[in-house]
Amino acid sequence: MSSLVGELESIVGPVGCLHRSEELLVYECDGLTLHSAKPTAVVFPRSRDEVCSVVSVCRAHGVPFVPRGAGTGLSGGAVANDAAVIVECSRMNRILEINAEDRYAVVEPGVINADLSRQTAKHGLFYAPDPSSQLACTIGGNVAENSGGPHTLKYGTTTNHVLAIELVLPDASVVQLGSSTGFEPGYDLVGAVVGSEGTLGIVTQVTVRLAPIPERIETLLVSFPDVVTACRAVGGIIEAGLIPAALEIIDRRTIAAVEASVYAAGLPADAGAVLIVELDGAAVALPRQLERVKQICVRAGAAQVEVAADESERQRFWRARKGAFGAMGRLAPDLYVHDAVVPRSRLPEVLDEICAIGDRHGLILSNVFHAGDGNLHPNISFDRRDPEVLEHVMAAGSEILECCVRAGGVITGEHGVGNEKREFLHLVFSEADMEAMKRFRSCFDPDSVCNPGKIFPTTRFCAESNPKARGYDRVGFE
Amino acid sequence: MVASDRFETLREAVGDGGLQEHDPIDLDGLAAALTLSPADGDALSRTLVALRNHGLAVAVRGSGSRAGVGNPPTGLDAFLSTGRLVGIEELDTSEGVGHVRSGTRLRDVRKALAGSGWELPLDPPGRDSTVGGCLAAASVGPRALGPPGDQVLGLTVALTSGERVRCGGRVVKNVTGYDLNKLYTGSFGTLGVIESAWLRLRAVPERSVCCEIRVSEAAGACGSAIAAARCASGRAAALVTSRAAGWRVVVELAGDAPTVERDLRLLGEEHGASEVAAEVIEQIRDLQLEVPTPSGLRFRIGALPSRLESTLVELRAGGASLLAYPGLQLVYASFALDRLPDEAHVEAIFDSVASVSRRAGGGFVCEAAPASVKTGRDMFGDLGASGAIVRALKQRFDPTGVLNPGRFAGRN
Repeated sequence: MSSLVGELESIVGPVGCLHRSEELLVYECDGLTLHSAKPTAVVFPRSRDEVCSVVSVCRAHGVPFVPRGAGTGLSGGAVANDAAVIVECSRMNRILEINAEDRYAVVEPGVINADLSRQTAKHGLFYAPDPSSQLACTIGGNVAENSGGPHTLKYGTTTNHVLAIELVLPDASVVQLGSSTGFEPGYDLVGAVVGSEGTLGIVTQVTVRLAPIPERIETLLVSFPDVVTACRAVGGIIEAGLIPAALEIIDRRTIAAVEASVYAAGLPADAGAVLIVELDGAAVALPRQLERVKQICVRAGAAQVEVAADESERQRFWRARKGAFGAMGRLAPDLYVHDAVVPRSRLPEVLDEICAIGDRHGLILSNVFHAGDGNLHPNISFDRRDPEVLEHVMAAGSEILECCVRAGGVITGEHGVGNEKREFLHLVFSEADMEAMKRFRSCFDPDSVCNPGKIFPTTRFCAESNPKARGYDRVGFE
Repeated sequence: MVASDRFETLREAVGDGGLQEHDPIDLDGLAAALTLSPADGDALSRTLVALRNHGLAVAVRGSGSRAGVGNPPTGLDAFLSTGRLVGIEELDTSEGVGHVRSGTRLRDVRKALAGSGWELPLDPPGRDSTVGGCLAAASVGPRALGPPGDQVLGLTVALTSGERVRCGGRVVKNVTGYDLNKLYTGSFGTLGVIESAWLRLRAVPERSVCCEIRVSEAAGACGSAIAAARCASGRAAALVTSRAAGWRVVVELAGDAPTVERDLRLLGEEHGASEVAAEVIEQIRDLQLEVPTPSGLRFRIGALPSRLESTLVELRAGGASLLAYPGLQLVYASFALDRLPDEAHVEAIFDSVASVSRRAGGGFVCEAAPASVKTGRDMFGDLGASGAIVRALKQRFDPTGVLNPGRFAGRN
């Protein structure tokens, strides 16, 4: 082991390699704290060549490796299964090129999502995918997870914005995929690598598409007596052929948590749900679109429609949405943020069932979600110190996923499968479907050494998939 | 010629009415006189297994509009047609999604969508283009929003192992498992045969209008075309030119009425655009499939907007007729060739296109060429280090080379 660490240190320097137990503690999990495992070491390479060398050393020692961005993922995707070495990309954080004329940027994987848009704003351009963690999460992590965000509805997810990728393969060779035009003569390997959860190699450079900052933005905060009515308004907006930049719903319980927190945004306390609608585009078009959205909402049963008068008011509305997860900290010490997608038209009935599941298990369950694309985030607030509660949390999570799949949906819309949902993949895909995916993976990583144990169910990991079975219900509290 | 015992196995596998004998049809030097047309997924699956068991090779066909694309096949015993895998399984206009079987013609889907407020975001040339063919060839037209793979939500694909596998789903946002939709789309049926697809639909715009700009020089034409592609309602922008003609920019604006009116006015004032008939953009699209002579060459080239002018000027000087979609960063370049083309001339064209496309920021694919020109060249250019992955994929998904063997990039 010391030989491995020594060799890694010789590549990245002593400050670029963590290996003492206390140093590794924070790298045991990502944003999903229910799944954790201690890495053998964490290395912080500064270049593609250092990544190649790190991979070579890991291979020589027979140790797997896991690429990691900022660790904000919510599916345990960056957890070091099999005592892997974590390859942390935060020191590869340079924006290498901003080509305003051709509207693309070339970045290293550790560039923070929001920083890129900040840097491109002076050119009138922005990077569209905006996950809630965009102040911390990295482009490399976004590529791994095919991250979305509230504005996915109009602009698409990461996959729609990646033109080219430089990838260090598990044999330590380097492959360039795609081009700055997006043209790729062979198979669309860029498209297939995006969202592969760091299981095919380590991304060391990304060329992303930049979009023009819209001429004008209008943001509405609409309150409804209940979530079902709010969903009806969302359906009406979509059916009318309008394509808002965002359609986000916050339910009653979340409103209460937000309003009691530092994120308080003046949301109507008596509302059963609020819907944030953001329209952007040509200035000449927005006034009419705004009126149409208002009419649809009122017809659906809106109690109150508020239009942001200026940017600070718009930020206030978004503070409620983006601060929702943080505000949940007021309800209980632990939060399990679920992620599933259903057809939009099934939202009301699925939400009803999800609430019933929460009630049945005696859990505090709230919903804040991307209603426009049917992407639900049922949030369960709980205290892991109570083993019985944890059991209910896990059981409710399973039932929620099963309910979403029964409604024609899938088990993840933007968080990925990771460790968290690998045992649920069979709800969506057959053995043959998964076998084809594994076949695809084997063309990049035939020995399964890059981020092992993720995405696919394995007998080996079955016992570990239950956090309680692994003793995590007791971690840190004994 | 397929031996009689194998012939009977295939007849049984493909099912009633699914086997058709005909005069030999040539495909870049090889010919087959048999077409297999399974009517459903089970028959497709059985047929693929039978082909694999007998070591036979097929060329997969939709409408055949892109049948000429690719390297010469290394084996051809039959054609495998999706012509009977037709039908619209579901059009969900509340969601804006649809599930369609692969042999369904796009125009039939468009017809079914008429009046629903939704339209297909797929826009390839070819009157009879099918959903499966369009996706397998990643075929775009001027109105494409981007690569066709972006419009695919889910696929059912039949593999030569006999498995019918799914990826993606019917919902509009999904990261469950690998996004193999992207892998199969544009793979020219070399990994599996698309049986059906869940697609995004696009809202029909409130107003659309076609306009044209005639320009005498390259800089002005490229500037106008890029500006048109980037205006808020610019749904399609095409630039057409050849040595014999000037520079012509055709634009389709679509969206909400105020934006379209504003953009039309701006393009008129700043670029001299004038309104033309709506079908002009569709006539332009059909140029994508044209080659100037029966033995001519046609290339698809990726080009950044900043390199568009130099790319077009250089190709035009080399004798190419050109069609460019600046919004999609694509250029189609066609070269006339004599019936018995001079090898040195052909080589010079390929060298020039490779060099131009490198400087333009993208690669190239030679989409049309006589069989004699294809021999010894890869129509997809040099894949570089990714060639090993491309080969591995073909080997893992189609180990015996049933599906379009030799046709794809890297001659896989």
